[in-house]
Amino acid sequence: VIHAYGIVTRSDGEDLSRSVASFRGIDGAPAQVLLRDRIAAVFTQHAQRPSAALEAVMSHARLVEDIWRWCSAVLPVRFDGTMTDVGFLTSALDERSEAAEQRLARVRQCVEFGIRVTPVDPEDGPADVPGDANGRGYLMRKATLLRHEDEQRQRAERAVRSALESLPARPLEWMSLPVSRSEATVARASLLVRDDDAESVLSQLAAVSHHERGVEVTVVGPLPPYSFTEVAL
Amino acid sequence: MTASYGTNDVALVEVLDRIINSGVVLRGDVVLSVAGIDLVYLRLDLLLMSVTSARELARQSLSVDSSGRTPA
Repeated sequence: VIHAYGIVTRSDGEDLSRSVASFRGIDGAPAQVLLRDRIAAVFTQHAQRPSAALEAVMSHARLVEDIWRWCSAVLPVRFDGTMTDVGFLTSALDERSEAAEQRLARVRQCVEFGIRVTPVDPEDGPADVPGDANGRGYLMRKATLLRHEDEQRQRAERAVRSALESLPARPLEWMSLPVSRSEATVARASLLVRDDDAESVLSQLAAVSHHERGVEVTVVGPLPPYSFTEVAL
Repeated sequence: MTASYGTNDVALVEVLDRIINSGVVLRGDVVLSVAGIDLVYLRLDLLLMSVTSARELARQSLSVDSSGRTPA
């Protein structure tokens, strides 16, 4: 089987193919480049499907980062990019080469940052929660807590939106990510930022995180643009 | 991988979530295995459960008897 890591432009693929043998993927397999007319893909070959262990996920991520540092742009393939053979990957690339090329142009010289907003004290609930002496009381209490959590999420999302819109060095794109009720997190987002703006966006976000009371803002990055590929092969 | 600032645990979750849930889609779902135990992910930061538990859960919620009713 083969495991794919990233899609790059044809010219980056040609450059990469001269040095790619020194790059290693899952289980230490040497990376290879599949060149097509307009785009190229980096993959490794395996006798059997690589085990989906945490170590393999991290090896995948490391090779994606190696490609990302080497090339002007990369569309990272998510971890489940294992296929039967090169023929499958060839067809997939050829069918979507135009969309992939357009997206590569968009993410060229860009990095992704992840933002996660968490309450400083996740147990901090509303002051006027009814008691749960009986079934009705329990439901009232539950409803109040859920309303409080929804309000907290909406506030956090508004704060993130307003912070991003007020940044002098704006991200090229950003998206709000879904947050489940089971998480302590109240808001998540991904930003696509130009390399040149990354440092200033980061310092502005750090400043914002000090101004928002009751929440902690965590920024992770710079990362390859995982959230901004928009190409399904 | 670089955590610009914030706690390392959150940074790792954010990074893993992107590697598994974002990026170019080539295939379907992933079964992750940590410390030799197969874990199903729905979203890594939301739910990790053993494959056995997940299958049991799926069986309970999805199985339909011959009359078309789900079991109580």
